[in-house]
Amino acid sequence: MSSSPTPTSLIKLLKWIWRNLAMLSLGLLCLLLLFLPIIANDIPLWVHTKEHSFSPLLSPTYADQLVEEKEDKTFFTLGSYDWSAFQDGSYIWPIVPYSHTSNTERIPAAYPPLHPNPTFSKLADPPLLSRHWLGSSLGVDLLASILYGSRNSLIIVLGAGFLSLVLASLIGGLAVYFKNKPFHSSLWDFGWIILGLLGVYFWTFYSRQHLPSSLQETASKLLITCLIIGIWWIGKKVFKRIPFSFFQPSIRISLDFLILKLIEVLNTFPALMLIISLSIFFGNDVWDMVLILSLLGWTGLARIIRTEAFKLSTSGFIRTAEGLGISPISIFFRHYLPNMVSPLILPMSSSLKVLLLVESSLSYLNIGLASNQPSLGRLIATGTTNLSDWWTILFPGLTLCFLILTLHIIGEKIRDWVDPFMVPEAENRLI
Amino acid sequence: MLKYLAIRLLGLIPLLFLITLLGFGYSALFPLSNERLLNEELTPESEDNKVNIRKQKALVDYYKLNIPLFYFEIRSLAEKGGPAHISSPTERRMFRKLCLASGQGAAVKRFRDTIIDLEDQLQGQDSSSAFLIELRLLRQRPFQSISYSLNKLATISAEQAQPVLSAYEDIYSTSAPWKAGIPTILSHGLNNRYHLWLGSILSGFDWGKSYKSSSITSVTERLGYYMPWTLSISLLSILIALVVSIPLGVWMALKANSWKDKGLRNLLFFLDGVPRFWLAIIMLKLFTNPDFLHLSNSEYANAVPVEGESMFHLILRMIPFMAIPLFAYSYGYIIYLSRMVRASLLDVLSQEFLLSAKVRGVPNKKLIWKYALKNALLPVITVSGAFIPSLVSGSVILERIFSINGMGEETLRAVFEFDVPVLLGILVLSATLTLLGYLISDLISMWVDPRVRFDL
Repeated sequence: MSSSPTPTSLIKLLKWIWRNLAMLSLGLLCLLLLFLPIIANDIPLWVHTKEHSFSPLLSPTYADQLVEEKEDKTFFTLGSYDWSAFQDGSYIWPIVPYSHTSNTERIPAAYPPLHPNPTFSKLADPPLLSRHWLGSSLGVDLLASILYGSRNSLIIVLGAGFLSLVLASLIGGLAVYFKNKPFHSSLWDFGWIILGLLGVYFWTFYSRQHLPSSLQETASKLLITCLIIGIWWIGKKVFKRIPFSFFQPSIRISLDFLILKLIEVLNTFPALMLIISLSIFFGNDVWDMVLILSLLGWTGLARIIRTEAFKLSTSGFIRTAEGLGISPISIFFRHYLPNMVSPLILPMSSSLKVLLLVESSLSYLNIGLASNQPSLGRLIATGTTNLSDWWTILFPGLTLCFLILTLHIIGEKIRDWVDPFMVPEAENRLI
Repeated sequence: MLKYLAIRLLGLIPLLFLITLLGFGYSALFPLSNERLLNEELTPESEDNKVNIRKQKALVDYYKLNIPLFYFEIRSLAEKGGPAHISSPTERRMFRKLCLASGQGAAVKRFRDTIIDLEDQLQGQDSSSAFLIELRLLRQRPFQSISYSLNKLATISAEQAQPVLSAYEDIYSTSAPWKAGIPTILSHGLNNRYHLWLGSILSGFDWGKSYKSSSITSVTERLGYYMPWTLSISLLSILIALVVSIPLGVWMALKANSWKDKGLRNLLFFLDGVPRFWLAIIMLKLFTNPDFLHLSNSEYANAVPVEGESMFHLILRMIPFMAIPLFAYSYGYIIYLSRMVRASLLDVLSQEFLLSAKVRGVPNKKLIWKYALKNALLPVITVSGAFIPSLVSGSVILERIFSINGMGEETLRAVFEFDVPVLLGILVLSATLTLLGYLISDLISMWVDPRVRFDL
């Protein structure tokens, strides 16, 4: 009697986990990073003494107040609180009892992995897992800085990826929509539009700040802009009636051509130059980096969207929908969008990878994120200064590899889901 | 074909022209460049005042900062006849506000001329008097504190301050602030910075002088100094990448979907996720660390050719210096190109003409390496056109890691120091190369596949 090796449910589950490993690990990481303040922090989650029982994480001012009241402030300072005040009590610490800013040492030292923290070991009731699991550099725990740094990286990458996708689809969609409808306009109209733009520049941006202060309030700013637009519009209507033979010849402007040239010109500027000068304008906070990278990252995606949408626009079902008089917006959402996912998903995932690399290299060069923000690239840079601190280079780099790979694998997974009938790779029929 | 080439080349000219315009506009967004130049090196309050002021004036003349930026500008009517093209940004802002508040451009110009005349006069007599310092400060103060400064001048010496005060009263005697709301176009003629810059490039290929005070000041010489380092290492790395990745890709395509191919593909997939700057650092730590494997030297820049050394010996001597940088540079290209060769060769291998060649008895080796690979390399060559700008612009991060004096480092320095002439040079160079790269890849794909026709 031999039992046939049928897969049990456990093996099925394990197989499922293996197949969706990338998805699961990124999901878990995102969940982890969402609740990061209660997972890695230098403030106890809960303090319980004879008199008090409260959460310093949620009510920091109350904790400050209590620390002020205590008189004997001894050796132990961590983060911004002097927890020695509560030595007689018991604490519940986060799993990683450090944050990216907590400098536990008077003289910042670098400890190898698994080294116990000397300050914590002086404490009567130390946290359960108080070792530096991945070591520390400059007195800051590496695991905590990696977690906070990868949170920043993910925010920047996903945010900039999403924003640049929106920008690219907007611009690429406009290019396709106006491809067969070039703007026919008379020379007069064209000149009038340019004059209007110059007027808006002059009266709302240039001379307004020098005008009397009564005209500088927000309401009057709006009023001025409305007035300019109104005058411009009336002028346009009035001058249309006057038959100028000189201004009649019409010119065709293709928006598609203009957008293609814009992309070409933007691509010729060295990216580093643009990133640095934009970060001088916008600043170098996390959300500023999202804005900067998305302003530079849309061009490649816009090209792909433009060609794909143009291919689709000649296909039968979209022509039929147009013929039936369905509104362009509804055609976009019901026909273009679902059909564009599969050609876009791989370029999108590789652009996320490039964004991650750009972000980490910029912070390696100390020109990306502000220096008070934790970042994987900056961690690697601090490691390069000292030859013996191998852990400061190894672990952030491995985290980077992990993030890049998961993003890449997830891209391929999504492509497989969206497009199961994808033509398989050409077989080698000859040899 | 020639006609197409000629039209495309002619089409580059307006685009390059547009890029120079945009670059100039971009440089105008950084008034800091001039401000730095004038304030950092030469503070007017420092000890040897006279020398500094002379130096400052000389620098302003040298870099032509006292002439307008462009042929025309849109300003308000109030600024007509006013003091234009002031080199110091704070001073320019102050006098512009004075113009707009009063509407009397000509009177403001007279006011400024009076101040400067008085300064020059006093400079000859006593260069460190309190009155002169206050007078000089007047031009650097914000608009709001002019009257305060004038009061101070009057208290120091009412007699000396008389012409300045009367000129200031002149401005507001017939003020017309409504003029600030009327736009006009101020035309500057041909004597502007853009015209001179473009003219000197077109006539004598002179790209101007760098703001950095060092032994090499000319932009062309600077770029000529940094370019060979970047160009040599990037060309070598591309060559290595091609030599490695083409056989690798062919091998993978021939063994398609066998376990060897799958294993190698997975390996390349994982290696693709490894950032090359991190790999470079790891390799440097492992192989140039005196405590560990001391196989190579880290300083690529130290490998300077010695006089009278033969090329062969130079290369031999350079190998230990170059091995790790070359690996780090070519690593990304190898992964990218070998995947690409594999995919395109597989595409070609399934086509009919190879089957017919095989039927006619062409040997397998010739079939693959001559018939199939020639067609399969076309997309690879087309894509390589996109590498051309990166050959010259260089990788900043790898240059930083291996301490190579290359274009990437120079670009970084120029951006941080607002070295506008060098920035413009780099910008135009990289723009030209990018556009040429597009053109070359278009031409190659046309030459390879005559069915491809590009609309002009």
